[in-house]
Amino acid sequence: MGLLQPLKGDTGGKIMLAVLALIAVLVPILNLLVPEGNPLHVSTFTVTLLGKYLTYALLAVAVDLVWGYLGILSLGHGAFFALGGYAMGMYLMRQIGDRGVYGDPLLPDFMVFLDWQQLPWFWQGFDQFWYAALMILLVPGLLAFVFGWLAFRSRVTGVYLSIITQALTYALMLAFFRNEMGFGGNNGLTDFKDLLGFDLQSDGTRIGLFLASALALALGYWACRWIVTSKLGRVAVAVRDAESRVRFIGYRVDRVKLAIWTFSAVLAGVAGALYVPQVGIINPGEFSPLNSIELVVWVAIGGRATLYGAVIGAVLVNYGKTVFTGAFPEAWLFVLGGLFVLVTVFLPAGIAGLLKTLRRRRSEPTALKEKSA
Amino acid sequence: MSSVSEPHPDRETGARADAATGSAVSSSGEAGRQANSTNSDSGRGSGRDLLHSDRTFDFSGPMQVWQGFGQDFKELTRRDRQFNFMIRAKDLELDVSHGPILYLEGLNVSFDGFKAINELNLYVNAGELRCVIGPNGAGKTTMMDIITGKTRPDSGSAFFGQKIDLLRLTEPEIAEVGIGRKFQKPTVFEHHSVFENLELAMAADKRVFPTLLARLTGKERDRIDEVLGIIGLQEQAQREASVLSHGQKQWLEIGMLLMQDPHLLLVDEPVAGMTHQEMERTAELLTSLAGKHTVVVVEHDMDFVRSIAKRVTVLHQGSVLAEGSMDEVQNDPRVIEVYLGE
Repeated sequence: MGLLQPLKGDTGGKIMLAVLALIAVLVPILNLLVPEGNPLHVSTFTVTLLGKYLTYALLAVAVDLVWGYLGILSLGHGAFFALGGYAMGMYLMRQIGDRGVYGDPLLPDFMVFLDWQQLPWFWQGFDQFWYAALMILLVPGLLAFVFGWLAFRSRVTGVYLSIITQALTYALMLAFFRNEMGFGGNNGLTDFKDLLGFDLQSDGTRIGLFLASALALALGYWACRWIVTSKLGRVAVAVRDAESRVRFIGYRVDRVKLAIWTFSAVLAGVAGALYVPQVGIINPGEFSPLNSIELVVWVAIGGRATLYGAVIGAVLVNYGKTVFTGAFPEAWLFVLGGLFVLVTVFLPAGIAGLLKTLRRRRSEPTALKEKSA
Repeated sequence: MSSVSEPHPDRETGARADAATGSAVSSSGEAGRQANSTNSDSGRGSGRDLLHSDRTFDFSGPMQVWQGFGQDFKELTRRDRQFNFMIRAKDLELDVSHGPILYLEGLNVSFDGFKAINELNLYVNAGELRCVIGPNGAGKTTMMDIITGKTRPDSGSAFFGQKIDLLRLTEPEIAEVGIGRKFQKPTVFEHHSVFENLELAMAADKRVFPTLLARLTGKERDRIDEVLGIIGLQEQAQREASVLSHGQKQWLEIGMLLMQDPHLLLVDEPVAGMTHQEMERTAELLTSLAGKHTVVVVEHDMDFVRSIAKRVTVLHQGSVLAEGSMDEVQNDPRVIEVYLGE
């Protein structure tokens, strides 16, 4: 039972994973086997949309791990997400080969346009998938490690740390906007053709990416549960609640934070890497501070320190966003802000907290009855 | 000052150790006495450290100087021991063979010109239950902060046993070498159960990956149960710490200290805000811990101090004003002046 151990007592998580498994089985069937005219048919557009939500959900889980369990309010997790996305985007750019507008076999279009003669050193190796995959893990992980090492060692905490993370993602956004950086500048990386030889436009690839996102979410969720149910997870919560006490007990608080923080950044990077081939573009806008704040709102709405709450929050808010931006594009930010205020005031424990209260309320009367009988 | 450098208590312990353990230990008792006498002469730098040893050079002639260097060189290249400064301080063994477990010598700390600690000298013997009292602002908490590494002194030295230099260690390292601290305000982990609080505090490999992979063994479970028994919280083991009463939180915190198997327990105002019964239980608890552990209690409540203390140290304006039994201290005119004079 070792594999299910981390899910013990996590009813919400079990339900979430069961729903995820159900969707992962049903959606491909409804997309591929049910004919298009049928009301049960799920369009490829919807499949991709769902896949995108799942990558957001993984990102939200990563944020909940550091915010809910470690007490670090990161307003810069969008940066790790975007870095993972860029690493994937660079691989996809190199896969285009000579099929670009300019037909250069080696240089991506934007480099030809900028009149660059050769591939910059940091683009080397990205034609290999294994190398790109390694970078997807390594680049966000390394940035988080260096950033965290400096910040946690100097005992920067609370709102100051949040502001620095915000500055980090903002600085990266400005840097990536520059053409000289060699990441496509303003336009970012786009016009992808295929991934591992599969055509990105085909239904099969879309389904494959959707399934990969579902699997990544399930594995990421499981790994986070594994961490929070371990002794290290209990130490993390203790750090959240009484940091200096943990230090006196003899734990290296900075190392505990650094390890979990880096792991969370790697998860965010993986989410970004799965996001990019599904939406077909990555540009510096992904680094925008607003994105990082928005994803904290998902976690707050879903419910902090539950992990599955983050999944619920990410999917619901993004579904709302899709519907709302379709109907009233200008109103979305107001709706998001309003939601955040309402949830903080009336549902401090988020949707997950609400579900828990409802469940307890339903079980309590019966328990009382049993007692009196 | 005079009462601090008084060598009597240390001598007494040395002699007691001789009587208790027989002739085998008597040589170390001898050494202890010698060390203490040099201690009281020079005031600091006892014979605990090779680097501090008094090696005199004979400069009467060039030949002798040369020989002196030769001997020094030999001394430097000896291969049967390591220099203390080459060993990481936290890996040194706790050495209390001379009696005291804690040496604070010539400590000075000032905050923005205010001298919180002023030439403080304090020695605590191993296994002792020592109470530290003093008016507000006497430097009691600052002293604890120095011992646990939270505050760095401007000058002076703080040694744990003969060898471990506390001023070279970080807070977690100090916890690791065996000094546990209970804070004035009870700080337990509110969102963890009583059992988990003790589990987290337990002496173990506290690096990140061993912690991630740690699983409770039966032995560890027994140890937690044992401590639950000592602090009397078996019934509450699975309850969240946030629902405990104030007194229970204090005991839980003492239990958390015990889980670390510390040699020295620093307890800051353990009975503040306790009911009378709770106070009595705490007194029993602390006296039962002395002997196996060394306990230093900072407390305001005089009745409580009287009920537990054998030796009391009075701090005033950052240095030791008086030291002795509760009766001696209470009849000391200087102490009376400090407490009642203003």
